[in-house]
Amino acid sequence: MDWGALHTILGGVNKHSTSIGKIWLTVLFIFRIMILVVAAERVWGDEQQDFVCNTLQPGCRNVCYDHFFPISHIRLWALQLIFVSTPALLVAMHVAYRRHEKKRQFRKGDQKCEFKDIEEIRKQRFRIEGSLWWTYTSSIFFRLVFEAVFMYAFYFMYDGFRMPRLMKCNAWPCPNTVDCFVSRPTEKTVFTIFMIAVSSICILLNVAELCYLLAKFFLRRSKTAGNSKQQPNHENKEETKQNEMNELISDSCQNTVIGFTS
Amino acid sequence: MDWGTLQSVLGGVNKHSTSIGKIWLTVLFIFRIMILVVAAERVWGDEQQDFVCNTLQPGCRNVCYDHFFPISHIRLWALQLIFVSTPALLVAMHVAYTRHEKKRRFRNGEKIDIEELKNERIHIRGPLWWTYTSSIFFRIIFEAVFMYVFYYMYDGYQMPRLVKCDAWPCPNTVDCFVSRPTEKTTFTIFMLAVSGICMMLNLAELCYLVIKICMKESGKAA
Repeated sequence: MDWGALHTILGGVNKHSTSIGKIWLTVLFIFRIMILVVAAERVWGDEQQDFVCNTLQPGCRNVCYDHFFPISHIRLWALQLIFVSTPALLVAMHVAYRRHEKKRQFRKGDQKCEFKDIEEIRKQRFRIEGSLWWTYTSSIFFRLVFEAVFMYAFYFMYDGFRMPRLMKCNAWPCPNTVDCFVSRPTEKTVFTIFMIAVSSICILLNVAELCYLLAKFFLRRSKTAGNSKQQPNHENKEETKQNEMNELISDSCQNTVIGFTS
Repeated sequence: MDWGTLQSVLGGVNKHSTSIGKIWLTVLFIFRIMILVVAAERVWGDEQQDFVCNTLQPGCRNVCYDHFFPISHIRLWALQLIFVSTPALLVAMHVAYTRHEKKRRFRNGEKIDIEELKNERIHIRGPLWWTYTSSIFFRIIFEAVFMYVFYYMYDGYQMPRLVKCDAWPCPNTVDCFVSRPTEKTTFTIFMLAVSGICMMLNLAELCYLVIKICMKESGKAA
């Protein structure tokens, strides 16, 4: 179970995402996870090994390293990426649940269901409407919250995003104050700033997607409100009836057994 | 045979689980196994290398490390995850057995579609209910046992920075310093929290199954 497996799991979610969601997923995998695995892990690989303190006192280096790096950047990024990817699974579970319900109706022989075979149900792309809209929107909301929380945790834990070259340590058993030198500080600063920048881009994409979904929701609402106002004045009542029938038929597969509204 | 193989084995069980069971499996793979592989193993990677003792006495560091860390956290978690995943195999075996019996009946001339048999989702009823419920029960037992073993072996869930060691051949008492204690404490508490969540999911699933069977029995009685 590693990043590849996460990629497989989230790949399935991709089909039901908006375009912005697909861009977000690509940015996540290529500019964050891949950078973490192929580059950042090597930079931080020797962080404790090459953390050198100007003392012969045994244990001083361990204690100073632990004091200045409570949780390594790499682990924080790994946790951030896992937490940020997880809300998408809510969407995947919701889609799987809907598919399961449609398969059940299909097997019962419901004639109102428009699918001809089970393969079509499997391949169907669900539109982001109704309860799925709420699941999708809350997943984006949680993603934003997790991103913000981790960025703040980074800032708080390391007093900014810069990696200092020298740290002065006076934790026991170090004698008096000891100079400790960090390994590869410039490279680490560069990668930290890069990861922060890509996190910000991801936050912007999530905000844009949230706005898009809200705008779509309000537009659809105003359209249905507009249509319902026009119907009593409409001269062609047969057309109205036909529209209603079509709506009922297309909605029936979603509404019959479970009873959730579209 | 590694975590990926375990995932493929347990993936098959997923189809016959309840919804809570599916959530449990997701939590297990993403928040426990994946965290173990991508993060925790690196944190504990240099645990003996950077275990430093304030002495020149050869052998003292080895002896002290062995005294304070009889079984490493990483190995205990790996064992815990394997033991906790294994009861699901009982369910997989039962399902395979049921399918095998149906195939046998088909071959003996009964009219059952063999393709549908392969893809059929078997409901949790009858003897399968007992197998499924006992698998959840064993999962809970294993989780609790390992959580207790952790607590007992390491005197709580906090990793100390300094351990005082006087095992032979160390002269008198020697200060030994653990590598990355804060990071290790953070991950220990994280893994403990997720174990707690998994245990609650298992309890919820157990209650759900018991209630389902009680309602079915009362339905039949009525």
